[in-house]
Amino acid sequence: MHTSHRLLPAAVALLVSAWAWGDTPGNFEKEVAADAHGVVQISSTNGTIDVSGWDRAAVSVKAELTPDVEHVEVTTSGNHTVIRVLQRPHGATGSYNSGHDETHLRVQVPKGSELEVSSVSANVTSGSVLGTQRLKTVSGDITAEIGPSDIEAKSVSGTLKLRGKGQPAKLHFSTVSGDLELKHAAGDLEATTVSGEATIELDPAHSVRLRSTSGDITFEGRLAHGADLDAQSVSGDLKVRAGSEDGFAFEAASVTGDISDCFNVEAERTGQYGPGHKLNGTRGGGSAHVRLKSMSGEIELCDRR
Amino acid sequence: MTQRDTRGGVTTLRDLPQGIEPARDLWPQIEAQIAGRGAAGATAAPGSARGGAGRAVRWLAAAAMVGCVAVGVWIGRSVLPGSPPPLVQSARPADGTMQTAWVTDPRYQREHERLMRALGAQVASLPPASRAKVMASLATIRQAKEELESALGKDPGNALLQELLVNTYQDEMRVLTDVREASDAGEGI
Repeated sequence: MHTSHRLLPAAVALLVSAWAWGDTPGNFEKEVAADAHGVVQISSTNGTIDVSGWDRAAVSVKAELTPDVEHVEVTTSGNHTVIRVLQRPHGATGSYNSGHDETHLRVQVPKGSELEVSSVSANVTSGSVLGTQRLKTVSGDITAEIGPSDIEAKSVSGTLKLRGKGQPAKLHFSTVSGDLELKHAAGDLEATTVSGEATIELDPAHSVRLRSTSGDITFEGRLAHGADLDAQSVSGDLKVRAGSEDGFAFEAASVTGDISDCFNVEAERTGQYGPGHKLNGTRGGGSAHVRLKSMSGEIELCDRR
Repeated sequence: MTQRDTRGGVTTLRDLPQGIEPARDLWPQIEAQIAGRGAAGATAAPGSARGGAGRAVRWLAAAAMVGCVAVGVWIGRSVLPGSPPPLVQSARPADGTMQTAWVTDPRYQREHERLMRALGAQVASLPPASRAKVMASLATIRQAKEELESALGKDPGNALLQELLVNTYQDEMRVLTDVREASDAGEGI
């Protein structure tokens, strides 16, 4: 009896909140049947987009909307489910006040889905999605779990934070000014940034292409047999700490930046009169290849993590 | 030689005559014409036909040689691997460093100009936070290009600098394209 008295307020609160969620004009909720391996496309301008995979063959959408949102469109065609948050034309905001500053979208998708998310300033989060992911923002940050499938994440000024589980996949990331942080990933990577800092952890790595204009690049990981790592910058520093299954051959070159390593090989001048240094050699069996190039950035190379 | 009258109709080869004699001897007239043509040629310009043909052949040979040289130069400058991309030196600034202009494919230049023209409106449509960062990144790329071109002016044969410069041009195009896509996304969502 005493216990039921304690639970009563909680039950009432749950009922009230459920009623409030459904009836508040700024809230939206809908669930539609979906293919377990279908495609889910989501777009929203601002706020947050939070996507997670689940075991059900359905897509669930919950949103807290701002007054400038006209409505949320959820459509299904074949194995495609499209979710769009449609904004009102500028200056035509509704009369209700939801109390939300930004639109928050929570979407649950079948975990085998292929996911495509596009936003302007909304921060995007995805987790437990096993299909291919394509995530794109202008200024919003992207935080995603990497599954066994390929992933592409792209932002102009947002930060990319991606975390894998050591399963090999094809990874494509690019930013203009946003930073990139990749952890516990494996497989093939292509990453480019102009001024963002890139911190990469890849184990094992098979094919790696990294490019920056002024941002620093740090790679840490293990190179698979026959792997290829190519990193290049104009003025950003390149730091590579790469263990390997069977050693690697390396070539590092910089016009005005310093080149250093952890195995006591001295960089030599590229020419008798002009500027420039290079560092060539082989560690272990040399089955993998490492090429590092910069104009004025410093280069650090180490054969252990 | 007998002449058969064929007007009655020919039914077999045997009906055809074995030979037909001309009404008069034609050879003296033919001989006289040959002799007259030879004399006229000898008095006009001995060997002129052969000389005209020779001049034409010489002109053709000269034109072919000029063509071969032109093709060779074009192959050497444009096609052979290892040929450095053409650098055109422009004005030499006061500090002595050579400014260089990268001569690129006209299609690239057209696309670049088109993207640059549209950039102002596209950047204006971005969120304010992104706008400043994009402009800063483009300034970074512009500075990188200037530094690379300046370094190449001092060391035109440096393959590393050439590679970095080409890649920086590509990065600039990528940023311009990304900005265009981003502004499209802002309108489309």
